Amino acid sequence: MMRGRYNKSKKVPSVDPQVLGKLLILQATLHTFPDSENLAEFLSRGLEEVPGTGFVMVQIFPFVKYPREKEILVNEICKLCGLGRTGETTNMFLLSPDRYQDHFCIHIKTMSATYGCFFFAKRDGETFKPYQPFLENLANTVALTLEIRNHESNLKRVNGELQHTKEGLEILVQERTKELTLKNQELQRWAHIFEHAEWGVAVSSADGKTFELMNPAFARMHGYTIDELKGQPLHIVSSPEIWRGVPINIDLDHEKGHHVWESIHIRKDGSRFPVQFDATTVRDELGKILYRVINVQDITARKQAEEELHESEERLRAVVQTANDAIITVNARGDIAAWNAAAETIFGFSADEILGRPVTQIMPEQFRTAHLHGSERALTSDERLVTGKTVEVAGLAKDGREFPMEMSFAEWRTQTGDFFTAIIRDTSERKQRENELQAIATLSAALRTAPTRAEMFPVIIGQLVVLLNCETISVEIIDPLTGDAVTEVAQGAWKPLMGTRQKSGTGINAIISRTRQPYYTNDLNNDPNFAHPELVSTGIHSGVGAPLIAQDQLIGFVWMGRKTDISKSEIRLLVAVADIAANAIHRATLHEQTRKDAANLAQAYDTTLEGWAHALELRDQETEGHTRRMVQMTVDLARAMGIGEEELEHVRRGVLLHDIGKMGIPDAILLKPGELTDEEWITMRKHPTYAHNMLSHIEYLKPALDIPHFHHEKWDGSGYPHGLKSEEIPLSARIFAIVDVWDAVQSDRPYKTGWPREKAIEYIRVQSGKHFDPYIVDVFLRLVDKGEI
Amino acid sequence: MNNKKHNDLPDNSENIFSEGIHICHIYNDDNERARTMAKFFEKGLAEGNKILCIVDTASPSDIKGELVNLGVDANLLESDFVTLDNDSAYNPNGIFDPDSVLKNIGFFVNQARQNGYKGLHVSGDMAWVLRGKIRPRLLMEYETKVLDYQKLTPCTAICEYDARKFKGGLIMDILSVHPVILVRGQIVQNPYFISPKEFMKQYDARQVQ
Repeated sequence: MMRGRYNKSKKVPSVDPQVLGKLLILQATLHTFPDSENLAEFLSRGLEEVPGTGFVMVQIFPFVKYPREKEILVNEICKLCGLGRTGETTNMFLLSPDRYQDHFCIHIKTMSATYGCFFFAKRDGETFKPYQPFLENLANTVALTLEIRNHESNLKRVNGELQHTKEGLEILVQERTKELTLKNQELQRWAHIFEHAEWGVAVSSADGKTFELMNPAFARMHGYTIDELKGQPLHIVSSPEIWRGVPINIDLDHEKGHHVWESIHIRKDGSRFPVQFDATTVRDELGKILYRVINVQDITARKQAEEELHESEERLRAVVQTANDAIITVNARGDIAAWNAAAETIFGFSADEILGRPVTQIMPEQFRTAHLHGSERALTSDERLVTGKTVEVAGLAKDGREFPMEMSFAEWRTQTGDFFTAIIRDTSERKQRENELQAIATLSAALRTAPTRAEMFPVIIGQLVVLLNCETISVEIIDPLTGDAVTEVAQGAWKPLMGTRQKSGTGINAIISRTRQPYYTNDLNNDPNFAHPELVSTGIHSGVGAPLIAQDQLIGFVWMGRKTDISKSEIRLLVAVADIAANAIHRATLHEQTRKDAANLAQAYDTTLEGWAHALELRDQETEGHTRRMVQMTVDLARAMGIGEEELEHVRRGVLLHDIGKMGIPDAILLKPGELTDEEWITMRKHPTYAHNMLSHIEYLKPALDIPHFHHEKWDGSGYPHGLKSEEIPLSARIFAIVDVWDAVQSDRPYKTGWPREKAIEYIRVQSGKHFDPYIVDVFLRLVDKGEI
Repeated sequence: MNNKKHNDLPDNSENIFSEGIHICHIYNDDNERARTMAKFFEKGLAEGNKILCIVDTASPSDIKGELVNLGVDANLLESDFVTLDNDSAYNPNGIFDPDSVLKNIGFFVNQARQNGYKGLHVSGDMAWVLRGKIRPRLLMEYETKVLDYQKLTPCTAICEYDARKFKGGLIMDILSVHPVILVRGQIVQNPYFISPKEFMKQYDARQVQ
C-alpha cells in the first residue's frame, strides 16, 4: 500500500547508499535482540542516522523508548498518530514547531496485530521523504520479526502448556494408575476377604429381590453352591413366615441405608438356623439404589449359648428363690440389691420393702458400726475378715426380734461395681435344738447316776424347770396292779396333787393313753377333760401332758402347766424329756425289782447254807454256835484286813461251807474216836477237794469256794491239798486258816481238852510265817489284844 | 531458524580474515556463536595463524572438545590453539586497562610471529564487561584503541557481544567502532562505523546531551 503511494514515474529524491546500508544492517541485525526494549533502543539509535530526522522514537509494545524532551505514553502517542492511518503525516503533532516541521509515524504492524511504531520528528521533510519506503520496509521487517517472535513465543507457550498439560496428564495418569493399582490391590484384598470370610456375604439386586453375588461362606451356610444361588430370589433362604415381614424391613432398610435384625434362614435341605442379618443399601450419587449388601452370620452357637445362659440364669434364680437359706446381695454402697424368698421368710421384709435399703436395717444396732468398718476395709484394702468364711452373727427381723444366724459370705465384681452376697441361715431352731440336746444329754447323764426313781425325779423336775421355764410340773406313774396314775412328783401350783391317784381311763390321761401323743391346751380350766377343777384358781391356763413310754409300754405321764402359752418347740422338748425319763424310770424300776429279787434269792441261799453248816456241826459233833462264831471272827478279821462288804458276804458263805467237803468223808473216819491212821488221814485230807468238786458248778457259790478249797494250805507250803505257799494261797483262805486253828485248839474234843487262850495266842504267834501269813497274824493278834476276838 | 545457513562464513571472509581486522559479532544463540568461532579458528589455523581464544566461563578442555565436535582439527588445536581466561586477558593487573590488554595481546602476537606463525587470530567473549561493571566509555575507548593497534600488527580479532545481555544503545555504540560486522553469517563492511576519534567525540557529546 505504501509503495503504491510512491509512483516509480515520480521523481524520487536521491538516497544515500550509506544510509540504506545502515538500514540494511538494522534490518539484518534486529533479529538478534530478543528483548523488545533493547530492540527499540537499538532501532532508535540506528534510525537517528536517517537524514532529515529531528529525533526518532521507536515504540514496541509494551516497551516505549521515550524521547528525552517529553514523556508520552504509548496510548497517547497512538492517539496522536491515529493508529490505522499509518504512513500519513499530520500537523497535529506540535511538539516543537520551531524545530520540527512535522512528524512521520510508521506503524509496526502486520495484518493481524500492531506492535508499535517508528515515530520521526522531521527536521527536513524533503530530505527525509526518500527514506520513508525503506523505513516502512524496516517497520514491516520489525513487525514480521516480532510477529514471528510472538508466534514463537505463543508456540513456545503453547508447547509449554502442552508440555505442562502433557506432564500434568502424565502425572494424572500416573496418579490415577497408582490409585487404580491401590484400588485393585484393595479390591483383591476385599475379594480375598469376601472369598474367605466366615460370615456369609451376598449382594442382591437393586430391587432387593434376587441374589446377584455371594461368597462361598454364604452358599455353604445355606447348603447351596454359588451357582445354585445366583439369580435366585432372596426368600429361597428365608422361612416363609419370616419372609412375609421382609418387605417391611426392606423399606426400613432403604430409608435408613443400614439395618440389622435377627431372622431364621432355611438351608437347602430344609433345616433352619438362626442368623443375624445385616443389610446395607448402596446408592449412587443421585440416591438411586444400586444394590444391597447382605451380611449373614449363623448364630446357632450364640443362640444356644444364650439359651443355656438363660436356662442357667433361670435355674439359678429358681435355686435362689426356692433356697431355704436367705440369699442377699449388697452393693458397694451397702444397699441391698437382691433378696430371695427365704430372706423374706427369715427377716419378715418383702423384697419391695427392703431392696435399695441399707443392709444395716437387718442388723442389730450393736453390730452396725462393726459392719460399716468391715465394709470400708473390704473396699479399700485386700483385707478380708469374713469373705469365704462361715460366721455366726445375729440378725434383726422386721418385728424387731433378734435371732442367731449363720452367714457365708462371698465377694464378686462386675462392670457395674463390687457386690457382696451372703447366704444366711436362721439358726434359731438349731440353737434351740442344740440347747435341747444339751439339756437332754445333761438329763441323760444325770439320770444314769440316779439308780432309783426317788433319786431320778428331782433330776427330771430340775431339768424341766430349766428347759421350759416352768414351775408347775407333775409326774404320774401307773400302778401296774390297778392301772391308776399315782402322782409321785408334784410341785408348783400342782403340789396338792402329790400322792393322789387318778383312775385309769379318766381325764386327759385317758386320751394320752389312747393316742400315746402329747395333749396340749391353752385353756386348761375350760377343758372338759381336765380332771382337777380344784386347781382352776391357780391361774395356770396352759397345760401339756406327755406319755411316759418305755419299751412300748405306757408307764405314766409327765405334765407341765404355765400361765403363758406353751410353744410347739417346748412341747417337743417335753416329749423328748418324757422319753428319756420314761426309759430311766423304767430302768430304775426294773433295777429296783432286780435288786429286790436278788436280795430275796441271796437270803434263801444263805438260809440254805446255814442249814448245811448246822447239819455239819451236828455230824462233826461241833458245839452249838461254833460255825456262827467262826463266821463272826473271820468277818471281823477280814474287815480289819480291808476287805469290802460285798466280798465279806462271800467270806461269810465260805466260812459256813468251809468243811462241806467232809460230807464226803466216811463217818468211820470222821467220827473215829482215836487217832487216824495214815490211810485215814489221806482220806481225811481229801475233804477240801471234795468241797471244790461239790460246789464249783454252783455259780452263786463260786466266789465263796476259796475258803473250803484252800483253808488247809500253809504259808510255808506244807499244807494241803495243793501245797500252795505264801500269797499263792487266796487271802480269804489265809485269813480263815488262822481263825480255824484258833477255834480248834481252844475247842474240847473227845480226844483232848481245849487249850487256854494264852496258849492259843502263843501257838498262833509261833505259827506265824509257817502255817500263817505273818501280816494277818499281826492283825489277828491286835484284834485279840483288843478283845474284839 | 536454520542455523547452518547463518554459520557458513561468506566467500569474502577469506580475504577479510587474512588481514588484521576488527570484527564485531552480535549473537543471541550460543550454538551459532560456537559454529562461527569454529569457522573463524579453522580458517585462521589453515592460514598458519596462532589462535588465542579468550574464554568467559568455559574451561579450555570444554572449548577444545566443542571445537573438535564442530570439525576443527584436533591436532591443530593441540599445537596452535591457546585459551586465556577473561581476567588474565582483560584484567592482567586486576583492573581493566585498555593499554595493558593490548600490550598483553601484543605479547601473544609477537610470540606467534617468533614461533613461525603468520599472525594471531583472537576471539574475545565480552560478557565479562557486564559482570565487571566496566564503564561504557572505557569499553569504547578500548575498542577504538584496538583499531589503532591492529593497524600495526598482524592480528585479526572478533569481539563477541551477546545481544541478550547488552543494551540496544550500547550495541549501536559498539557497532560504531567495529569496521566489520558479522551479520546473519555475513561479514560486511559496517556502514555505522566511524573513525575512533569522531566516535569518541560524538559519544562524549551524546553523554553531555
